[in-house]
Amino acid sequence: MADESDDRPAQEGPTATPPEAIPGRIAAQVDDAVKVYGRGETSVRALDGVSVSFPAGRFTAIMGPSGSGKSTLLHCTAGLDTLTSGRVMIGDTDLSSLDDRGLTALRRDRIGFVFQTFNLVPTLTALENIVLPMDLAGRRPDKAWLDSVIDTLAIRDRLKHKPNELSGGQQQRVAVGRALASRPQIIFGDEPTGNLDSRVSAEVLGLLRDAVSRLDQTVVIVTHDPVAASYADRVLFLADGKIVDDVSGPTPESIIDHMKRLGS
Amino acid sequence: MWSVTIKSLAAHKLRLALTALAVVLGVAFMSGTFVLTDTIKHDINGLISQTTAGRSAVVRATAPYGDSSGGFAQDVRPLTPESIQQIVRSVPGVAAADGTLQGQVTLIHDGKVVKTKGNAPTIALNWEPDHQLTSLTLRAGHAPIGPGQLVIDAATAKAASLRIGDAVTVIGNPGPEPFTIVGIVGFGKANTLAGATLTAFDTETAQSLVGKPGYFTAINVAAAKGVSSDTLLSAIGARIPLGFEVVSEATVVAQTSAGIDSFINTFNTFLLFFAGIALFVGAFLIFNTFSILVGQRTRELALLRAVGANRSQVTRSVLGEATLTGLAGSIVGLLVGIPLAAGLYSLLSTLGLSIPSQGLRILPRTIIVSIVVGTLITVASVILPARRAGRVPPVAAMRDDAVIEETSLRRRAVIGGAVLVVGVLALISGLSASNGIGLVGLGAALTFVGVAMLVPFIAAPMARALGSPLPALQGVTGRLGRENAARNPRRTAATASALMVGLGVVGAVATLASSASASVGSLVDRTFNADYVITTGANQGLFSSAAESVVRSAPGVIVSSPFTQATWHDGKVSHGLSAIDAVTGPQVLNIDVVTGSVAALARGQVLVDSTVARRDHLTVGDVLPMGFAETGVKPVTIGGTYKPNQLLDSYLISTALLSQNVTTRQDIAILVKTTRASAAQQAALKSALAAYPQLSVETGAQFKADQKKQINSFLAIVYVLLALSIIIALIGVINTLALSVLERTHEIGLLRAVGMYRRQVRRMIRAEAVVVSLIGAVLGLALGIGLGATIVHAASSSGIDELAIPWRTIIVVLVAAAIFGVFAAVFPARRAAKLDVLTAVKAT
Ligand SMILES: Nc1ncnc2c1ncn2[C@@H]1O[C@H](COP(=O)(O)OP(=O)(O)OP(=O)(O)O)[C@@H](O)[C@H]1O
Ligand SMILES: [Mg+2]
Repeated sequence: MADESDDRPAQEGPTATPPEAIPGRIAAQVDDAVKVYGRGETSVRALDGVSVSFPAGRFTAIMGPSGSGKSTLLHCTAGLDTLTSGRVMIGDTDLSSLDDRGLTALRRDRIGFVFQTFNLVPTLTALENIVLPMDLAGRRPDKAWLDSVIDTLAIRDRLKHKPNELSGGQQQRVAVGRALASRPQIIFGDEPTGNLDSRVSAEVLGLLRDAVSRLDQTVVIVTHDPVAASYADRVLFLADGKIVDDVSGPTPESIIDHMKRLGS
Repeated sequence: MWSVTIKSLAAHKLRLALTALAVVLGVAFMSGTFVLTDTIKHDINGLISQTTAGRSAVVRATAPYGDSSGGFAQDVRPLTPESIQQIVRSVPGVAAADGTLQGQVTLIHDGKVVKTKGNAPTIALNWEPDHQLTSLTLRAGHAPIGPGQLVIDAATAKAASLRIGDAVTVIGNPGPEPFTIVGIVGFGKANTLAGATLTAFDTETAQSLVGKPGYFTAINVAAAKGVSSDTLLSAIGARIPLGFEVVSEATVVAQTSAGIDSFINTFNTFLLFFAGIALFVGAFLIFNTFSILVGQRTRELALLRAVGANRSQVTRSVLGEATLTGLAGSIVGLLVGIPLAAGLYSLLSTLGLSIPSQGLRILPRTIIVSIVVGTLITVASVILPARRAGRVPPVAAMRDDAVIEETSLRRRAVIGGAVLVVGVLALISGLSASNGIGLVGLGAALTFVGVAMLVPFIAAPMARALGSPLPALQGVTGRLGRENAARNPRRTAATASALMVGLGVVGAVATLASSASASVGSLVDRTFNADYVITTGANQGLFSSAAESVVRSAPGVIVSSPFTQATWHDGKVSHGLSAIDAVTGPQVLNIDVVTGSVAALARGQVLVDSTVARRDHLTVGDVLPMGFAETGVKPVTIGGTYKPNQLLDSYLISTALLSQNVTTRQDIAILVKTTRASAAQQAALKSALAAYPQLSVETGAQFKADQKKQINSFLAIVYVLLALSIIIALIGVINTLALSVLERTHEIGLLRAVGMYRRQVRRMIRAEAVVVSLIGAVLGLALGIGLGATIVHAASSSGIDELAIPWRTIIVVLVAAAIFGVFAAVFPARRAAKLDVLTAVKAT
C-alpha cells in the first residue's frame, strides 16, 4: 500500500472552494476547440473550431443532430477528454495545464455530472452517492447546503436506499443531488433526461432550473428534446462540429423553429 | 456446435490461459512427481543389478517374520556363522563363497563427523576377498588388511577431502578406534551407493565393529562356469542346515528393489498428496472462471438458444470448451513436469543422492494419468457452470437485464450441508478406523467442498465484518472495496474457497505440528526425571552405545541410564517396545505403575501398558510369547502394568533382556542425573564425550526445543509443497478480480468521472482483494484447525495427546493473506486504473 498520501488531499490546486457564481462571470470557456478522432482517411472532425463561453449562474442547453459533436464538446469541456487543439478554461484554470491527477481533482471538486444512465454506484446508498465526490476528496460536506439540496430534491426518505431500490426518476434526482452537493463551478449533463418519461423528465429539469435560479448554479446539458431545452436560458445549436445558432430565452416552439431552419 | 466452442475459446484466450495455467501447474506437479520417482527407482535398481553381476546366489539365515523392513536396511534376520561359509564352499558347483557383513558406524575426521549432505547413513562393510562377489571396486590404494585400516568411497573422500594416509576415527560397537585410510573405492561404476558413505574393513575388523566375531550377515556365492542357477540352488539347498536359505541373485535383487520401491513409493504418495491439493484448488479456480464467463456470455448463449440450439447443445459446447482447455493444460503440464523432474533430480544429486543417471523415465502411466486426471478435473469442475449455461432462456438475447436463474439457495444449502455432514462423518470414521487414511482424505475433501458450497451464505457478512476497518483506514475507497467483495457472494465464496483449501491444509498441519511439539514437551516434563539427555540430537548420526560407559564415569554423574526402542513380533504383527536399564531406568524415568512393580524388569519380565493389558486381557503373571527376529520366540512373564506413556511404547523390558536377543543393541538415548545441574556440569559432560562428536548433551528444555525444531523443519517442507496450491489460489484471485473489473467498467468509469484518482481506484481493488483473501484465510484456518483438532483427538492414543492451537501461524497466515491480497490485486488494479474514463462513460 504505497500510496497512502493522496487520499485526503483536502487542499490542493483545483480544490479551493469555487467562487460564488456571480452573474457576468464566466464559469467555463472554450476557445477554438478542434477534436479529431482517428487519423488519415477515416478521421472524423467531431469539433471544428468551436468557441463558446458558459456564463456563471446560467442554464445552457446544447442541441443538434446526432453526430454533430454535442457529447464531444461536453466531454472536452468537462475534463473527461482532451482537445486536439484549442483551449478549455474552467474558471481560471486551463485544462491543458492539468495532468490526469489534476483533471480528476478538477472534476471531483469543481464539476458536477449527470449522465443519461448509470449515474450511481450500485454498492453505495443514495446519500453515499451524493457525497461521493467529497468522500473521495476526504472533505466533509457542508451540512446546511447538503440539507437544502436534499430537501429541494425531495429524496430525504430514500437516502438509505441502494440505487437498485430506486426508480429511474429517483436515481436521476440522486444524480442531480450528487452534482449539486459539492457546489461545483459548473454542472454538465449529457441527455440527463433521455431515459425518463415526460413527467419525471419535467421534474428533473425543474430541479436543474431551480438549481440555477435559486441556488445560483451553472448548468450545461445536451438534449434532443425541445421541451427539455426550453428550461434553459440559452440554447446552442451544433452541426458538423460547429456552433450554428445561439438562442436566448427559448420556448419549445422557438426551438422547434430553429431546428427546422437548420434542417434537422 | 464445435465451431461455437472453438470460436469461444479463441475469444476468451487470456481467461482460458489463466484457467489452463491452474491445470498446467497441478498436472506438472503430478507428472513431475511420477517422472522423478520413476527415475530414481530405475536408477537405483539399475545400480544394484549392475554392481552384483558376479554373484549367483546368496545364503542367509531365514527371516522368521518375513521381509518386513524395506529400503536400504537389511531384513531383520539372525546372523550366519562362518561354518555355513565352509559348508557352501564345499558344495560342488560353487566357484566362490564369501561371507558379507553390513552395519552402520560413525566416521570421524578432525573431531567432526564425516557425513554426506543428505544425512545418509555411513555403512560399514567387510572387504570380501573375492572381487567377483563384491560391489566395491578399488579405485586407489589397497584393500584393508588387519585392524586400523579402512577404505572409503570416492564420493565421500571427495566431499570431505579425505586422502589415502589420513587418520580417522571409527565408532562401532567397541567405541571410538583409530583408523587409517588405505584405499578409495567405488560402488560398481558409481562413486557410492545413492549418497551413503561406504566404509570397508577386513572381515575380522568389520565383525568387531558392527557384528559378532565369526558371523556374517549373509554368504555371497558365485557359480562355477556352466552351473545353472537352479542346479546351484538345489545343490546348496541340500547341504545347508535348517534355519538357513539359499536364494538366487535375481530374488535378492528383486527383494532389494521391492524395498527401495516401497520406500520411494511412500515418497511418491507424499508428493502426489500435494499435487492433489494443487489440482483440487485448481478445480475451484476453473469452476469460478467458467461460472463468470457463462454469466458474462448470457446474451451470446441466449442467442444460440434463440437460433435453435437446445439446452444440451449449449451445455455441451461449454463442456467442450472445458475439455479442450483441460486437455491443453494437461499436455502442457505433462511437458512442464518433465524438466521439473529433471531439475529436482539434479537438485537431489547436489544434495548428496548420487546415482549414475540413465536418463529420465517417462512411463506410459505418467502420460495417461496426467492427461486423464487433468482433463477430468477440468471437465468435472465445469459441469455446474455448463448446466447453468444450458438454462439460459432464449429471451435473454433480447433483454439487457436477463440473468440466468441461479440454483435455488435452499437447494444449495441442503446439498452443501449434506456434503459437509458426509465429509465430517467420513473423516471421523476414517480416523477411528485402523487403516482409514483414504477415508480421511475423502472426508477432508468433502468437508472442504461442503463448506465451499455454504460459504456464499456467509461471504457477504464476512466481507463486511473483515472489511470493517477499511472505511476508517482508507475512507470511501475502503468502503467500496469492502462492498465489492460483498456484492457477489457466490463469486467471492468460490474465489476465497480456493485459498481456503490451501490454507486449510496449512492450518491442519500447523495444528498437528504444534500439538506434537506440545505433546512431546509435556511428555518430557511428565516422564523425564533426569538432568540431561544425550542423543544424536539434530545431528541425525548414529548413536553409540559405547558412550554410556564414558558418561557413567564422567565427573558429577550419579545415574546414567541407556534407553532404546525395538520391536517384537507376536507371529502376526510386530509391536514397538522400549528397553531401559532395570535398575537405573526407573530412577530417571517416571513410570506410573498400575499393578505389579518395576522391579520385575530386573527379573527379565515385561511391563505392559495398562490399556493394552486390558484390551488383550493380560494380567501380572501371564506369559507373553515375544518373538525376536534374531533369537526367536521367548516366553516373557508379565511383571506389571503402567499408565500409557508415549515414550515407553506399550511394552517395557530391560536393556539386559533386549541385549540377549539382538546382536547389536542400538540405543537411542542416555539419561543422566548429576549431583548438581549447571552449565559447568553440562560442559563437563560434553568434554567427557569429546570422542563422540555425533552426540549432544541437552537439558530437558533443550531437548524439547530440539524436538520442536525437527517438527518445524518437517513443517517447512510441507509448506514449500503447499506453496503451489497457494500460487494457484493467487491466480484464482487475480482472475476473478480481473473479470470483475471488466464487468464493472461502467462503474469504474463513473467513479473516475466524478473524481476518483487512479490511485484510489487501485486502492479500492486492493481492498477488495484483501477482504476476499482474508475470507479465504479465516475460513481455511478455522476449518484446518478444526480438522487438525479432530485428528489430534482421534490420534490421542498414538502420540499426540495435547491440542495446541498454533497462534503464531494463525497471525502469520492472516498477515500473509492480506499481503497476498495486495499482491493479487496488482494486475487487476492496474488494469482498472488504466480504464479510459471516456470509454467507460460513453459505454452507457
Ligand atoms: N471515440 C471515437 N472515435 C471515432 N469517432 C468518434 C468517437 N467518438 C465520437 N466520434 C465521432 O465524432 C462525431 C461526434 O460524436 P458525438 O458523440 O459528439 O455526437 P453527438 O452529437 O453526441 O451525437 P448523439 O446525439 O448521437 O449522441 C460522430 O461522428 C462520431 O461518430
Ligand atoms: Mg451524444
